[in-house]
Amino acid sequence: MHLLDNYSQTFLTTNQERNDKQRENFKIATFSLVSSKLNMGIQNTGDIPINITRLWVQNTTASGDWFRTYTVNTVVSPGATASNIGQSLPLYIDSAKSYNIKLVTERGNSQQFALNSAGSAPLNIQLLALPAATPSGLTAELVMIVTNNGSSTLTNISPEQPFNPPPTGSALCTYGTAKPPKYDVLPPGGTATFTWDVVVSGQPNDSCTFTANIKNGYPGNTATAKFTVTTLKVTSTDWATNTGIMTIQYTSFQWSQGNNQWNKSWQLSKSNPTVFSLNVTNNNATSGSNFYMSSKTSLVFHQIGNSGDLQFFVVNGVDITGSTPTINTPYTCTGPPTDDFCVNIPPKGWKIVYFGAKTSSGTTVGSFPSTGQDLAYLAVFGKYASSQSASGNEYAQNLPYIALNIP
Amino acid sequence: MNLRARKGISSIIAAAILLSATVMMGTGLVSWSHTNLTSYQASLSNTYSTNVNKLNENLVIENVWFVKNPRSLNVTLTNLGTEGLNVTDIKLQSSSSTQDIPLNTVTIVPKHQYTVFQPVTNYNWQSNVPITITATTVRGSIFTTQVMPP
Repeated sequence: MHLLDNYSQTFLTTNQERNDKQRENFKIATFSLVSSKLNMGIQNTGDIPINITRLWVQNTTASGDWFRTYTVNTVVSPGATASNIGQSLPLYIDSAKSYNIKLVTERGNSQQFALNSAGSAPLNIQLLALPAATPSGLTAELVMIVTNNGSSTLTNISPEQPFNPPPTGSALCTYGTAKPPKYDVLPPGGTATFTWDVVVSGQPNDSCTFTANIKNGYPGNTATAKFTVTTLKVTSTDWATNTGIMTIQYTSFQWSQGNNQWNKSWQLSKSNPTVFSLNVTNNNATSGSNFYMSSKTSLVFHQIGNSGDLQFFVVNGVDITGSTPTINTPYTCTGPPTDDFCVNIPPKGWKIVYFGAKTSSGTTVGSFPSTGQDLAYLAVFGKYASSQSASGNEYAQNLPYIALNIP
Repeated sequence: MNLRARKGISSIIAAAILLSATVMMGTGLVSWSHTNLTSYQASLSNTYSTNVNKLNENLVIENVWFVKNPRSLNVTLTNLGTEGLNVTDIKLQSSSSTQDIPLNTVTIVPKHQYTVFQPVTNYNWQSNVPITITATTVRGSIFTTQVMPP
């Protein structure tokens, strides 16, 4: 019976030891090189204390393959991190060489990682130009994504700087420093992302191509990305965001000098009565708050070299069927206020607005008295209100970029 | 009268003979069982020791380095147990080959290591072909691990 008890006890003890070994869990939480020595932070992620007993190191550089072992003997409590592991060891790391490093616990578990060994096997490298089509002079982003598709932890991962070869192509591409400059540790399956600010300068369709690789990386393990200079295009919606709440659709701008014809050309005759049509959009999305347009709203024409501006005030309707256009519905309405804020545009809505009156709420159509080039803008006055009579919030805006030539 | 006296004497003699025989047989039986029990106890004790020692064997293949030139392995074994052990054999096995390396009984005392260097292993490993390494002790314990060459 005594022997049987002893045997059972031995069996239970052995079983407990193996169970403890399975419960051990640790990871390399931080890594850096300080004074060419390893400086590791080992985190005990298990629920029992561990004792890091030994460190193995193998120089895996093709020439000079050797291995050594060092005694560590550092106890780490569950959840705690032991720092500066390696600083007391007489091991100096040559950054030009690659190493395999292994930490072993008293119970026989181990963690292994590779150091400076990005060159031992090709990595998955992606290089992205964001955006690939960039207006000249604007700052774009170059993004390098490195994925550790190997089975060992990589350390000291950094892109080769400056780029070698340098960017090629007809555009001038200047770039800053990589952010972040390096990753200390890259575990298997992990991804390192590096970014650069890139300013692309040149003519439309000029381009420059970047070729990136990892410092001390695998030969030929590179990725490329191309920036192309493009023309800057801005839509009316963009202008709504950047210039104001009211916008006009420039392609809808047209004029008529009668004979039942609207024209989109930029050249018209002087001295003829002229009316205009333009789509105006209210980008304010506030429900129940329409934009009520004031009778003071007008298209203002400034002739280059001449003093004095010409105004064509808003009207409710025009008739272009005759040889000269007329105002069939002047900008009048019952109040209050009388003859003002007659037309409204709902939130996120648009309306065709006509211009032609020489005076506010007038009935006489204006004309261009002299030849020359006219720069025009729409001076919108109004209010955001729930009704014509409500006081609401007054709002005015200048919408430029219209031009005409009077030969 | 004389005949009756003789009859009484023969009964006594017979009883004495029977008693002597019984004593002799009993003594023999006790002696035999004692010998047998001692032998059994020794055998049991030996079996116990063997099994407990075997159970206490705790060998780990702590480190395997792949030597590139010439291609071979350095295998380091560590005795994590509380008893000394003798390693008799290491076997390297991959999908394409098997190499048996008899060690001529290598003794590893508790908490110590032993490295089998490349001249012994002289094993032509292939990149990315996993190798199963098995170490066998005198007591018959088998310790195994799998490694992947770079």
